[in-house]
Amino acid sequence: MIEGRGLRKVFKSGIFRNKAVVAVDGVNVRIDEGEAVALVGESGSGKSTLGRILLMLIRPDEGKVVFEGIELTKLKGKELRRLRTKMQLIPQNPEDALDPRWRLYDSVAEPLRVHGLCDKNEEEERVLELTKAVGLKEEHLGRYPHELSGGELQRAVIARALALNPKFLVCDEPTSMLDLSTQATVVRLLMKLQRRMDLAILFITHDVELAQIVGDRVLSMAEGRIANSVVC
Amino acid sequence: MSGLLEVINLKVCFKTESGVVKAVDGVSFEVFEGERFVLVGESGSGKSVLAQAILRLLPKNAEIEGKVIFEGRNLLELSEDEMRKIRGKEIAWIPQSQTALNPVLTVGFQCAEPLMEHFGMKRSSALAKILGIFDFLGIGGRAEDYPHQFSGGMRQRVLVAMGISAEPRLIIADEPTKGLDAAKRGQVAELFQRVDKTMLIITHDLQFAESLADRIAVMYCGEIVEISSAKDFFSNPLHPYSQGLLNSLPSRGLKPIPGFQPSLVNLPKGCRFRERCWLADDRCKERPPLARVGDRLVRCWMYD
Ligand SMILES: Nc1ncnc2c1ncn2[C@@H]1O[C@H](COP(=O)(O)OP(=O)(O)O)[C@@H](O)[C@H]1O
Ligand SMILES: Nc1ncnc2c1ncn2[C@@H]1O[C@H](COP(=O)(O)OP(=O)(O)O)[C@@H](O)[C@H]1O
Ligand code: SF4
Ligand SMILES: [Mg+2]
Ligand SMILES: [Mg+2]
Repeated sequence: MIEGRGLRKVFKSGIFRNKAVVAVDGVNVRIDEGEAVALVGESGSGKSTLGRILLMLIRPDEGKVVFEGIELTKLKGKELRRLRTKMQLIPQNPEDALDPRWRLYDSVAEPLRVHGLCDKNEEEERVLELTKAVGLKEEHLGRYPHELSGGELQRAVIARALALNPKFLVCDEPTSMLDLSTQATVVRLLMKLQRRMDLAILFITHDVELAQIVGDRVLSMAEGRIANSVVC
Repeated sequence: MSGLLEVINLKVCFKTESGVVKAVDGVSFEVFEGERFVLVGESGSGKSVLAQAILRLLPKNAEIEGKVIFEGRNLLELSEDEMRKIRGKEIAWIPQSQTALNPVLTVGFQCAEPLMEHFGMKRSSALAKILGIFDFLGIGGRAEDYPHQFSGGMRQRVLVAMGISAEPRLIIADEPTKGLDAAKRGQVAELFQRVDKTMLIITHDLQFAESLADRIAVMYCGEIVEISSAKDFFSNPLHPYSQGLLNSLPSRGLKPIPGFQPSLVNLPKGCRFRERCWLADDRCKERPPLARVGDRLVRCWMYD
C-alpha cells in the first residue's frame, strides 16, 4: 500500500547552514491496506519527519516512497497533488489544520470544493455524513474554531481529512494536547473509522501503551532509525 | 500532621457576555505539611482558576468568596504588598504558561535572581545552585541561553527549576508536565519526589499524578467530587467520574467516558456528572453533598 525505502533526510540550519541534523537515517517501512502501524520514540527521534516524508510533504534526500505501486518521489506538481488527496495528515494541534476565520462547515467542505467533487446539495449531504461519522452535531458546523473544545476540534480535523476518502492517514500525536478521557474518545473513533474504511494508518505517539492498543504493529524510532518492530 | 494550607468554601465566578461562569463552586480541602496533594480533572474543570485564586493572581473580573488560610492567615484579606512577599518566597508558583519567562534575560540569571533578591545569596552561589538543578533536569550547560533558544519542554523545565530553587514552604505547580514527552515527564516526577516540600500539584496527567501523589482530589465542573489517598484512588476509585477517568487510561482499556463536560455557564441541576453517569437515578436530580466514606470524601448519592 505505502512503502518507504532507504529514506534519509538531513536538515541544515544555522546562519551558514552549517549545522546538520540527520532527522531520518536510512529507514525502510511498509504499511499494508487496512493496517495500523504505531510509531513510538522520544521527541526529536524523527517520527514527524518520517510521517511527512511518507505523505510527500517533505522530500527525502535519499530513498523512495511508493504508494499503490506508484513511485511518488518521481512525481511532480499535478500528479502528486492528485495522489496526495488519498493521503492525509492529522496533526498534533487541531488548530493547525483549521482556519480560525472559517466556520466548521466550510473547513470540512473545503477539500470537496477544491477538487470540484460535488454540487451544493451533494456537498451538504457529504459534510453532514462526515460530521455524524466523527460524532459531532449539526449545531457545531456553524461555529468557529475558538468556540469548540479541543476534542471537538480534533473530530472536525478528522472529518475534514476523511472528506476525500483517503487510503492512508498519518496521525501525528493526534491526542497529546487532549485530556485523557477525550483522548480515549478520539482514539476509539479513529480505530473504528480505520476498520470501517480499511485505512492504512501510521499512528505517531510517545505513549507506548497507546501504541500497543492502536497498532497492529509497533515500530520504535531512535535517532532517525527504526530501532525495532513488534507485532501486537 | 496539620494543615499548612486550608481552602474553605472557595467560590470563583466570572461575569462574561454569555453569562456567569462558575469556575470554582464551593471547594474545600486541606494540604498537610509535607504532603504532595494532587488535583486532577479534565481541562475546563476549574483547576487553574482555583490555584490562581489561592495566590490572588486572577484578573479583576473574577469574583472570589470563601477563605484561603495559609499559616494562620486568610490570604484573601491580605494587602497586595503582603501577598507579594508570600508569593515566590513562602509559596512558589510554577505557572502553566511558558510565556512567564523574561525573553531578554538568560534562563540561568532569571532563575538565580529571586535567590539573590529574597535570600541575599551571592550571585555565584545562586548560579551554582541553579546549575545543579538544571543539570538534574537535563538542561545543564544551557544556563547562558535565552528562552527563545529553548523548546517548549525545556522552558517548562526552567520554570520548574525556578519554582523549587527558593525552597518555599509550599509549591503550587500548574500542569508541570504539559507538553513534555514520557521520559521528561518521568524526570519532572523524579525531581518533585526529591524535593522534600509541601506541594499542591495540578495536572490532568494521571500517570504523573500516580507517580508522586500522597493524596488526590478530583475536580469536575468546578466542584471536588472525591478526595482519597493516592493508593485508594488508583486501586479503588469511588466516584463514577473517577472510575471513568481511570478507565480512559490506555493501560486500563482506553474506555471513553460517554458525552461531554457540561458548560460552566449552564450547569445541570443536581449532580453535575448525571448526564454522563451510568449509575444515575432519580435521587441524582438533587445535588449530592461531599460525604465522608471512611477516611475518604466523595460527592455521590451511591455512598450516602
Ligand atoms: N524543518 C526543520 N529544520 C531543522 N531541523 C528540523 C526540522 N524539522 C525537524 N528537525 C530536526 O529533526 C529532528 C527530528 O525531528 P522530528 O521529526 O520532529 O522528531 P519527532 O517527531 O520524533 O519529535 C530533530 O532534531 C529536529 O530538531
Ligand atoms: N478570566 C476569565 N474569564 C472568564 N472565564 C474564565 C476566565 N478564566 C477562566 N475562565 C473559565 O473558567 C473555567 C475553568 O478554567 P480553568 O481553571 O483554566 O480550567 P482547568 O485549569 O481545569 O483546565 C473555564 O471554563 C474557563 O473558560
Ligand atoms: S450522584 Fe448519581 S449521577 Fe452523580 S455520580 Fe453519583 S450516581 Fe452518578
Ligand atoms: Mg513530532
Ligand atoms: Mg489549567
